[in-house]
Amino acid sequence: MPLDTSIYDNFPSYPFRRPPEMAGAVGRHPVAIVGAGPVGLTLAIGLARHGVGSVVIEPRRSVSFGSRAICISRRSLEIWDRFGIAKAPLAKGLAWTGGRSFWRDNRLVLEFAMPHDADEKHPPMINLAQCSMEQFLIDAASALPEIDLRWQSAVREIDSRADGLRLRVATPDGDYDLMADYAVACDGARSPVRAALGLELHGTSYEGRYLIADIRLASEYPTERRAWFDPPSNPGSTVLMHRQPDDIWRIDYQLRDGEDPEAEQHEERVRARIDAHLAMIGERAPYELVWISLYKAHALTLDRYRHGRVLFAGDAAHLLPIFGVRGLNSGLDDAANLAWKLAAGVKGLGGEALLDSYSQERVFAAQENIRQARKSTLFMTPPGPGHALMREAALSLAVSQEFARPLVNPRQTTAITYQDTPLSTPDREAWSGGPAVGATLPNAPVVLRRGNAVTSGYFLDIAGTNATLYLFLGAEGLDASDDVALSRAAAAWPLDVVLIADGGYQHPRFTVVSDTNGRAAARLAGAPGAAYLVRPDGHVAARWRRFAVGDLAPALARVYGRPLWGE
Amino acid sequence: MPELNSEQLEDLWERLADAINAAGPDRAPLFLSKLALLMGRALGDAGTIERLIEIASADL
Repeated sequence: MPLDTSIYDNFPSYPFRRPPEMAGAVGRHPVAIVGAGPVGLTLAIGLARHGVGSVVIEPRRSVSFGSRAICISRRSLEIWDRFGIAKAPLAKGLAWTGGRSFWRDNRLVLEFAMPHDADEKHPPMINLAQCSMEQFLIDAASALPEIDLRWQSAVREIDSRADGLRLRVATPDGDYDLMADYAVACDGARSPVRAALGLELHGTSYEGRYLIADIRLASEYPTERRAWFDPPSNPGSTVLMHRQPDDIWRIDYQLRDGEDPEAEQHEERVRARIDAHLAMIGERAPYELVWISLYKAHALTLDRYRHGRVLFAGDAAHLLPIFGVRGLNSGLDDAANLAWKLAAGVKGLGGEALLDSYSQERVFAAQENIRQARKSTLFMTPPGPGHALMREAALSLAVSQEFARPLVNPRQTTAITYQDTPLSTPDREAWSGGPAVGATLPNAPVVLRRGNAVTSGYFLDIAGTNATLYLFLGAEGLDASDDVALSRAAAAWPLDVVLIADGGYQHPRFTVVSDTNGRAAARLAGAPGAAYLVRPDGHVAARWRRFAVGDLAPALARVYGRPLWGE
Repeated sequence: MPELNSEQLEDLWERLADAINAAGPDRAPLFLSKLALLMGRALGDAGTIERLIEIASADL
């Protein structure tokens, strides 16, 4: 619900510009992205990093309204970092690592911490309003010549033909046809593209409703997630509170059974609830109400995210409950999974199976996310009296009993490990540690040598747009015949080779990680002779404790879903 | 005595929620009382049962 004035109005407005198609040009775009939200823009920027152009079609003339999704996970920050766009959100966002939950009259029932240690480059989570992140993404996309961002333009029809797609686009100056090899629907929960293709989401919708309010309040309280169950200020309800940049605080509260969602959205009702809450937690400064929204949990997904030349990502593909912050973050993970596969498809590097694997892997991820989010949702919006009573039991026990606290934990999003994907090569040896095949590569602070240049950085900073082979070397360095074979492979295939060694080892062509503190070896359980093959989205495709050069070609062929060229 | 891992504990939480829903609001206390008797009998240790009753009685 828009209020009279809002900081969320203070974003630039973009004009409609007549595209070449309206001047008679019949261009053909490799990729049309429908929707300039965080997922569509991240995908466009990711494709541009791979050298692939896209046209982004968006009905709005500005960022979306309101703070909306505010929690960005470490995995999402790593995705943005890989695409070169993490700096601005990290500078503006508020980092946090955990939170606390209270029951009834401020009895502490949970203190949780998300995994975090000195090896990490990024915090486990930052808070940043979705409109702010969209503006950063628009600014980044606008600076890239590969991206053609078209505002005030709505896709009305998609006509799939054997040789490509025709999209009918409506604009303030009339309609035009746009031709594209692929289209990606990133057009949100009510996806018009999904409707145009006659597709439906399947799954569960939950009854419980939360009211979401943003207030501007001067407070020195640190950034953490706080939850109050059945607090004296709002008996029978649950209240959540998050800090955002610019003195904005997000307060979510559960509407009780029998409360009318329409009536509860009126400003005086919202103020009464917030007044009571702030009084309870001792916040006495005056506040300004800046945004109100109503939320209902859904756990829904399309059965497939690829329909010929049309692909689906983000809320257009799946709707996840807010609890555990998997909505936006899983959408960004979709974009990371799709960017390199679509780029490989456009450039003729990847096979059809590679695009199919996008759907396979991300539907699996959505099901994993739904499984975790479902548990959180049963706790946050108990669907029946049994769940409400069992929640009460868990909270009451958690006051004194450690074992009951995981039941109260908000189960924040964590990176997905892909299982049963055709892109992976199963382990042939037993491992006792390190990221499993399908998991994301962990980070660690390292020293990097490229020729004579020495820089301090992080392990994940090395990754480019290719698949990467990380090879652990012993004191004797890289074997001469392996050197020849790997140099040939890196020249012929979309592959980077990174050597991990201690001391001052140098290589004329390959990046060398000087693992002087042993952190990379520790996190990867790596010893001389071991190797990891990592996909362009950071997931481990294969690993060997005793790597032989002949292992590379079949594993890389699996990554790209095709027989290797030049073999 | 083996303990439930956190996944098994989550499953138990949900199974009990479903069973309470099935019993209905009037009969839920009866259902839970019967279940407590059955679990106590299966546990078979009067000292442990007494300790658990004390824990469950706190923070009501």
